[in-house]
Amino acid sequence: MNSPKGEFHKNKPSLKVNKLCEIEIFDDEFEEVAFYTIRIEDEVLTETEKFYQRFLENENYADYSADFRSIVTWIELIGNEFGALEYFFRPENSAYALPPKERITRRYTMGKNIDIIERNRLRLYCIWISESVVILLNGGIKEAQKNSDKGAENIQSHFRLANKIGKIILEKIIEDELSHSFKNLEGDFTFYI
Amino acid sequence: MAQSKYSKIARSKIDPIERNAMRKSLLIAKRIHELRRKHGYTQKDLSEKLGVQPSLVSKWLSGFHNITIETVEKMEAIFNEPILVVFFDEEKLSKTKSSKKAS
Repeated sequence: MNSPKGEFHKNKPSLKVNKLCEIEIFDDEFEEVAFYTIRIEDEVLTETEKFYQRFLENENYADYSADFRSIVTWIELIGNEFGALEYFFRPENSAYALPPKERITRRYTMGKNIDIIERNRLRLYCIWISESVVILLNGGIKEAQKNSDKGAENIQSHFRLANKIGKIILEKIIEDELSHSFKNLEGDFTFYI
Repeated sequence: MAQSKYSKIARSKIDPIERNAMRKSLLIAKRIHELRRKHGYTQKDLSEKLGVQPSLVSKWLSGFHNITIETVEKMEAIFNEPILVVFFDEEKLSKTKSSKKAS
């Protein structure tokens, strides 16, 4: 029997399998903020651990150690002292990213400390939920001005995933499937992407 | 309480000088935010009063941008309140001077 035009594709089961994700704690040992992350299916590392591992252990990324350290310092300062005030994050559509727009880097040149204002070349995407709850995701090297520009391939997939998860989390909060009080996130920690 | 081992390792590598510099920037940013809210100014209002682009004010308020003493001075004049208070510890300073002389 011949299928009407287009019907074959319409009825064809999608090959794209949704992946189960789970929210889990990344670091809640800070005074003011609990940082959560996402684990996709049964992957060994969470999304944020993948980001950290890349810049901590992979020698190919050694040039970015100052940029990475700067993000880690930022996380510690807002985590322990300032709280995750929304303006300390960079809005990225339905998600956020660290660090904010510019930073000061200290370089040691010719035996002297020189402060240089420069753009941090890394982005760590996250979902800002409150001043005490942030879900950190993955990220990478931001080489182009816009995520749609050529040269941004390295980071595009992380940007898209962060926005997808950002929408899902927002929906879960609106639907009361997820709630938060101070550093605690409660409710259904699972979802599909 | 839980902590990924990667977070623990990364935090152990934080440079205290960088942390202190960043902390001071954040303190200034937070103080400017508080004053801006207290006086009911938007970021645009503040940029107009300072004669700079709103994007620059936004960078200052993120705490991640170097702010000059001159800009702080201008903001203090706008708010008519202090943003930076510098403590000058005479006793500590004289001890430092005498120890330098001794060496």
